[in-house]
Amino acid sequence: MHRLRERSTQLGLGLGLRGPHFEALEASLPRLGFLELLSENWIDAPARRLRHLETLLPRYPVVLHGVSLSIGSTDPLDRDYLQRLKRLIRETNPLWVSDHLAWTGVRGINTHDLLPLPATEEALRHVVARAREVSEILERPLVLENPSAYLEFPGSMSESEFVARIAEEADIGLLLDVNNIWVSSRNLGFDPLEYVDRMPADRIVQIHLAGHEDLGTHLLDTHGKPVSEEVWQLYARLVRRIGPRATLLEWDADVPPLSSALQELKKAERWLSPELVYAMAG
Amino acid sequence: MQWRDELPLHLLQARFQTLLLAPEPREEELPLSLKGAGTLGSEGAVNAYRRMVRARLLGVLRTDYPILAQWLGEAAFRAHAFAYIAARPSSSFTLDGYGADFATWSSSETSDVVSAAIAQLDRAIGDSQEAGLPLRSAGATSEGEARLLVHPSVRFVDGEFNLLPLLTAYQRNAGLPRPVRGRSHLVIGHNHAGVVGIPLSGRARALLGSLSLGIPVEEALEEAAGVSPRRLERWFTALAAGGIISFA
Repeated sequence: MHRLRERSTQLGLGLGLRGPHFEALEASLPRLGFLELLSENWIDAPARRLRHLETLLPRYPVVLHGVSLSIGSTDPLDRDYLQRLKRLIRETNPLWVSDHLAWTGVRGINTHDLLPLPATEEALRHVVARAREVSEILERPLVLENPSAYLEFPGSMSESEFVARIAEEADIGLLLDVNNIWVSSRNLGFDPLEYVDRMPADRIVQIHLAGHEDLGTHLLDTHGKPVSEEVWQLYARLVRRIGPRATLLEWDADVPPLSSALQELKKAERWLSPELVYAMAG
Repeated sequence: MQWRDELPLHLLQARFQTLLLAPEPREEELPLSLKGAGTLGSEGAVNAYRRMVRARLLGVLRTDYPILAQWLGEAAFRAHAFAYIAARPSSSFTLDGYGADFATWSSSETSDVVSAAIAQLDRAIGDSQEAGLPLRSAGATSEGEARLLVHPSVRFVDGEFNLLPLLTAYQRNAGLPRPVRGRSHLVIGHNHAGVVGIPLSGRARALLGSLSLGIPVEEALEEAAGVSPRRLERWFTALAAGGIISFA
């Protein structure tokens, strides 16, 4: 974990690789610290899509980020998915593989949404055991992300305690999505500052930034807008406490031109140390 | 049914998932012991997840079945799609191919043979696009019950496109294909909304001409050999939307 964290502190700023940016990225090869590939977009991808990676993989460090691990599901682990993911790992050589602290379905069904877990001892033990097993299967550091939430099942601990204990007890890394913390804090009524302060610094290997939408009754995690000022403030507080970490901007809906996405990402430089700004200096 | 404070994880997940996928969850099934749902309330929070789950799957079906979506209209298509989502939820880690069974399901679950036939046509076009091959079988007539019909009011106008501005003034449907450059063809027909004029390329004109003579779809499609499936899909979408063709 120590080596992983050290690597993370040197990566700087990265961007989630999305289809609308393929050509612009290949043409301009901007100075980026790393790229994050959505695992499901590249597992069994057609040859014409894989060709994009031929240019990008030699140029950028890569991490994989998935949505289908369903680490919290009470269904058996999806061995077929894990084998395909492992093949993708061999092909792309990522620094780590991340997914969400959530479940996507049970009884053989996949809802394709990141559903919340109750913060209970039972769920904690369940996730810890599965995370250890997945780490062994993948033979690559496993990192879990806190998802955004719109409801909270009855539980025996706070979400922040649940997340921190899982990381410690499963001996895995954390991907802290500060936008998700802000969205969930508004929807569920907890203190986002306390949440950020309770996250174990030595487990955090990556940070996600993204935009959300205020629907009046609740905040919706859309990844379709610039990062809000509240989320930047949470990010600043986190980085001040734990130091720089690999920081990535996610933009999935109404994806802007690459130049605009890079401009938004560049704002994170304000809180990173000068020697790390190399990532976006070009 | 009121949920106890802490259900065993497997039960909680099964019940919650049932709520998310059901066409209309019963009020008594909503978990009353949720906490921290804040401004949304328990029911609102569950519905937020329901909307996200169903919107994602609906989006896949809408992309895979554009002609059917246009044919049925938004409300009817959503109802049809949600019934499919409840009956055939995804079981794969990927959404690729989720809609593959929608056409077959439509045929078996609905008495609306017209919608079923259009769904099969959409599927056939989608399969061709996926394989990067020209459309070989429309599928719409494969059951031997559904036939693609050209509206009896249809007349063809073959000529230069300088006539087009006048004729398209009668169009009632927005978003129809732009006229192609050079010598082209126009098909004009009546439907409930009035007179519709749709510009067609030479091959589309030949295809529609064959269909209007009662030639089966699969055979008529030979007239469109070499046409990209995407373009063919646009033709059918426009023709169906304009009431020029129908299925029976």
